[in-house]
Amino acid sequence: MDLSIPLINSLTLGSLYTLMALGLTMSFSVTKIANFAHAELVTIGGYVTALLVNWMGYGLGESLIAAFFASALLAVAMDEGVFKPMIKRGSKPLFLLVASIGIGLVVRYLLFIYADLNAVITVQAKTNVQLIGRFGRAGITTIHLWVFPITIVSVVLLHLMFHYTKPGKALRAMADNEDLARVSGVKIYTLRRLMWFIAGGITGVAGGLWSAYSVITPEIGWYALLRIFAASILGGLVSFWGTIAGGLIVGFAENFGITFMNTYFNVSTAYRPLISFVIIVIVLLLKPTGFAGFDIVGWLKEKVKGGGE
Amino acid sequence: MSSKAWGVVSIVLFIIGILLGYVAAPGKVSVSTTTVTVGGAGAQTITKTVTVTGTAAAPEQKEYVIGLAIAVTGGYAVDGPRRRNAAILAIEEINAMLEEAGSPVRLKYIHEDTKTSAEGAIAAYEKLASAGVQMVVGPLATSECKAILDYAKSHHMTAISPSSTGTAAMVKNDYCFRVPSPDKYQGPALAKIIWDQGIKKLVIMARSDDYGKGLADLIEENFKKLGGQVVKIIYDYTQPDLSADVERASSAVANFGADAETGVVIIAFDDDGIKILEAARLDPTLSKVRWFGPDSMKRATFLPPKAKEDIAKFLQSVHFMATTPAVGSKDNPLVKEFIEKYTKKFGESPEASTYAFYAYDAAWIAGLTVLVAHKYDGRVFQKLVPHIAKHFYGVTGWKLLDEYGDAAVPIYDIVAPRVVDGKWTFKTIGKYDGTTKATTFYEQP
Amino acid sequence: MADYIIESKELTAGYGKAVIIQDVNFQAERGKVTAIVGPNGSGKSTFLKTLFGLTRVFNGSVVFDGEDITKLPPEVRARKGLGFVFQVNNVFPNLTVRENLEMGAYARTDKEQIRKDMGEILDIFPILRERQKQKAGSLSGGERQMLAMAMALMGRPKLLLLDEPAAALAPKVVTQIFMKIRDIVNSGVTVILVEQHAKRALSFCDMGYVFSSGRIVMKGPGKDLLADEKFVEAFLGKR
Ligand SMILES: Nc1ncnc2c1ncn2[C@@H]1O[C@H](COP(=O)(O)OP(=O)(O)O)[C@@H](O)[C@H]1O
Ligand SMILES: [Mg+2]
Repeated sequence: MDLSIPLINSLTLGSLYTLMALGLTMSFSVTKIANFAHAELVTIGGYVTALLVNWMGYGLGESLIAAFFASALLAVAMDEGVFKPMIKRGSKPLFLLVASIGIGLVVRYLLFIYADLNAVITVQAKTNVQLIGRFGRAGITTIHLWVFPITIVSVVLLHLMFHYTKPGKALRAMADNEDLARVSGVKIYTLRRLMWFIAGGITGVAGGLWSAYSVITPEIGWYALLRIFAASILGGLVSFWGTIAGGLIVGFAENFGITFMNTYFNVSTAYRPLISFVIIVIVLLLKPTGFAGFDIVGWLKEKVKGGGE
Repeated sequence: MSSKAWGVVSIVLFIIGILLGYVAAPGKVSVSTTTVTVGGAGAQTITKTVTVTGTAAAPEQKEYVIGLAIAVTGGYAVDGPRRRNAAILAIEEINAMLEEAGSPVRLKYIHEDTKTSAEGAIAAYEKLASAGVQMVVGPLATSECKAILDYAKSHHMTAISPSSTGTAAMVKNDYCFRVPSPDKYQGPALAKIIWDQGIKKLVIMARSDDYGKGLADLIEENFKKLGGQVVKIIYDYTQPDLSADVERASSAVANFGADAETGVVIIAFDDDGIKILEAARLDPTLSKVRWFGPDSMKRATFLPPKAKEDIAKFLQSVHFMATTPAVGSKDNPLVKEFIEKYTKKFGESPEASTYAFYAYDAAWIAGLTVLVAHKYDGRVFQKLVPHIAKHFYGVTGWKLLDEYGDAAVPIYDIVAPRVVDGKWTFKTIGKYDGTTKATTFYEQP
Repeated sequence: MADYIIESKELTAGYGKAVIIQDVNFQAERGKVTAIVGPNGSGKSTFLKTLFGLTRVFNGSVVFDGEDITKLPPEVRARKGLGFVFQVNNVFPNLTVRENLEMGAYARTDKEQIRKDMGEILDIFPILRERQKQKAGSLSGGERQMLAMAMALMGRPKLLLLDEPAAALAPKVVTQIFMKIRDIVNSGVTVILVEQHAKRALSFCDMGYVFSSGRIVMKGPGKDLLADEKFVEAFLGKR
């Protein structure tokens, strides 16, 4: 059995899921909001990229930068417009989660209307994707030259930011203990905005890469959301390296796992999303802390109980 | 259990519920694209009764009514009027024919708008019934046909649908006849066309909905009957990425041997189709074999300007061809005349609507049936229609009906991506005729 | 007249809609140790949090260094010279010990001085120097308490709020902690100390306040309170 094609596919998907999941992990760890509207950050990034490339004739690089800013601003707007006011009024995390589903629906269907009017319900960024070499039977294309370096550079830059800059360390501190960060003088609302901006931005770039790698619809983010959550939950929703491992594991599980089950147990590939789902359930049941850190179930219990320090 | 614990459990269940619903949900129906054009010839949506009569009213002149239960609002707001116009043209032609021959008999029609809905279709039938109508052209959609089945039977109203092809209205001995061939004929046709191309081993990639699975099964069954081998890959079209499915197709082709005896059938819609083709064009194995597809693959989505040129070029390089229900076949002499008359009368070519051709044939069959019966009774019509249709050859070909009352002899155009006048289109390069089960090519596939 | 560094007037505060402390009139004299004692759940921690702006104020005001800070957010109070060591969750467990100390100095911009202070602090708490690269979550209870105080000191506060710094620690460590607090006070920092252990606190402080059910029920110099029969009967008798 030649494994080169599933290997390259897994790495490509794993990288894209990683980029998407890193944004979710960042926003969850700092704000403790399980943001379902994260899906729409992927989609907006994808559309901005595809439309700039197809309609304006921009290069992929410039379009990805635009996608970064578009999703970054959308993420900031979500927080400033909905989450922050709700938190200030003392909303429970469950309400924030429901609100995020609502935001997602609104953005998704606005996008649907727009896409319908402009006949771009399905669209692909028409970049010149060409074969540049082979790895076994698998083709290495120009899109891989975008996906892999962007993922690696993003991971390295984020790591440097979190460990070697003041705002980065403060964000980690906020994720650990917001009150303590405040009494240490951290301007949490400014940093929160910075966090949403970066988290939204990289998620948008991932969506943009997706529009060049494959094809997008207004629901692309929604369909990817299960994987994004699976990847992030594997890292306990808060762990940086755990999320990266999670993204790659989801990418590999979906390609190797399903190929394996299909070959040996005749399981239909249509069951592919079940892999991510099973990952989520197993992690929540057996190891609620993921690979590192955060006790999701414990946290939920505490929040449901309400109040109490 | 304490209330706190219940709270935790309910939240976890809630989240799992969301995720389950998400996993289990069948592909959501996306918002469909509807362009509404107002105006144009015959685009008025007012119900009206028109009597078409000869000049001199002979004393023994007799008039038969044909109902037109054709939607001109709702989903058929654009295409409905075209079909209605074609039916009107047929009735006028019959009257002209009768007048010229000196016959005292005439037809008249009553149009009722079914509004593209099941309720609308029933309401239209009720109105026609109260006007005493027993022969109806329409309704259009399978869902509308299904809705009027019982009513038509109990009121002895014979219906001839110009466009329903779904299996939901496939009922024996009912009062509803359908002049286009249903979806189920495409499988055998495609299997035969592919087999005739020298393909012995087939990999079918089909989307996991009724259409994809049903068609894949039919192709498989018929291809195996012909002596071929088949591997089927049913993919979940809601997935954001289909590279694993393309990889499986690639492996299946490699196992068969990527040569002239192996082919791929792709049964996809827009976005899943692009995902597959984008991955397949970069796969050396899949690029080496011939590709085929059903009518769902004849979409502008797969050609520039909507798609990347690379995808169209890939389709051309694998000599891709798709079947699509044939109307206005070049070698049918009736077609040219119909197009000319229609265009002259309504200021637009009927080629804008495939089903205008079927509506024209449906109305001709309806008219001939009433004339032959000589007694205005739906029970008589219902028995006559199959015989009239069997001896009828119209713009859409021979209208032999099967045991369900549906057109049994499919004619498919074979289309392939080509650059015509500097633009990519799906060009008709051949024809498959269900009468002879033979494929004719106008140009090299 | 005494020089009060912080003062609360008619302060009523709580969480959400719940009122926890009521009509609290409180003063802390500059350079001194002011202790707050009282039974569990009497609102001591809530009061400290209120001084720092971490609760909801329903009525009254907080004046710090002559300025009304009632409406200022915590991060701004920190920049004005307040420091806080929480009763629990008082370090960042996923940050290293050194990063925790850096966070303590977050609001400061005098890089040179911060570096010097870091050296000094690590001299004062040698155990932390050894553990610099370790995650704070891996420290023992006593070490964590040391780190929490060290962090607060890195902010060079004028006023330090200490919430039960010796709770649940071994007696030997408690002694160490109190020695450090004394050093801190001697270096010119005003301290407000919340303690469950009334005897220990009152013998350590200059001025004492007694909380019960969210209100101040007694106040006076620590030694006087310890000598007060009513107080001993009500708060120490059962012990
Ligand atoms: N975050 C909070 N939300 C709601 N109520 C709280 C919170 N923290 C403490 N309380 C309540 O406030 C009251 C006083 O608590 P606290 O100030 O911690 O007392 P102490 O520090 O004196 O033990 C208690 O009844 C406690 O349940
Ligand atoms: Mg307390």
